[in-house]
Amino acid sequence: MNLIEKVLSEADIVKATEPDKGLGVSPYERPINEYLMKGFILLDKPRGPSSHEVVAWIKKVMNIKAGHGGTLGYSSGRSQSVRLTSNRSWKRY
Amino acid sequence: MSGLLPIGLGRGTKLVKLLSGSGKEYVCLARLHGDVEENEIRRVINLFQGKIYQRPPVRSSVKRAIRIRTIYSIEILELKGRDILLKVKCEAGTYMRKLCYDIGEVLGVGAHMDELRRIGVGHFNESDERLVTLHEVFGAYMLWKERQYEDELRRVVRPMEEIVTNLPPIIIRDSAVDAIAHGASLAAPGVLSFSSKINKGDLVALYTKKGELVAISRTLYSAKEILGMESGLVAESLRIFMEPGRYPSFWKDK
Repeated sequence: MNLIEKVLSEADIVKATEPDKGLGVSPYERPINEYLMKGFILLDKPRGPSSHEVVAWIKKVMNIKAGHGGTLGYSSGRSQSVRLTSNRSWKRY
Repeated sequence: MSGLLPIGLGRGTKLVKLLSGSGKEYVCLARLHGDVEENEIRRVINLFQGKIYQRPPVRSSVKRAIRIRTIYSIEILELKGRDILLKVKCEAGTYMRKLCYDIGEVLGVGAHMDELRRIGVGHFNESDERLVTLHEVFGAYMLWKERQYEDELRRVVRPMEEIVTNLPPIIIRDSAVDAIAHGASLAAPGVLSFSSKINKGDLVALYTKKGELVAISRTLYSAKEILGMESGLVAESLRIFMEPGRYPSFWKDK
């Protein structure tokens, strides 16, 4: 069962039913162009570029409108200068 | 400053913006500017659990007025000399850089944030198998552009519907879809099935039978009440995602 089917199965109270008249299409089976226009990417953003830069890059490469949910590392200017001058000991968690 | 960043494409952009307001989880490395006893560090960090006052940092994208934010949990993962590795669950709009700075102020020695990784946004977390790197996105896009191979792109990009899997569903009639796509609110006859967990005033997701997201709405009645309704509005539309004209408009010529 895919994630959307799982959500639909949570609709446990059935008030009415109607036969399938062949309208619409499962979100997973949309034609690729429409699939992209109604999609999202769960990105593991690398260090370095800002959220805005990453989104701008995706827009440019994919030639598509894009936006992100919650800035990550917007004010990173100061820490980068710290990073360059200190012997960092960040351990990957 | 790495980690989870949900990016909406096309119409998905509108939906991903909803996530800006949801809770976040971070792993963050704070570095103290002086030596402090371990017990004192633990005591002070515990003070930051719950509601805190925070003034956004100089370089921020919001008005720099003191505001209240909730730290749901703050946990020390590792403590080594002046380095503190923290795991923090917090409300949207909490600045980790400022949190580290403020911890330093309370400890009296000063501190700064040295590294940050976001490990959770809303109901998404780091262990999500959908989490992809920029390389994967780029590779998948090129495979499609140059070789018309779609599968990888369909794995990397997910349908926008998967953003709102945390909202209880209402499945509606084909005949109600276009009215809502044009801005109408959901009326009782348009309802097919819905979650028994729905309360009055809840955010819900309206779907077609095929699972296409039609709108995000706010319910005007509870699940029990909706079951007994034959007419009247059930939920008011807040954000509409179905484009007008995709489903036939049974409501127009009547």
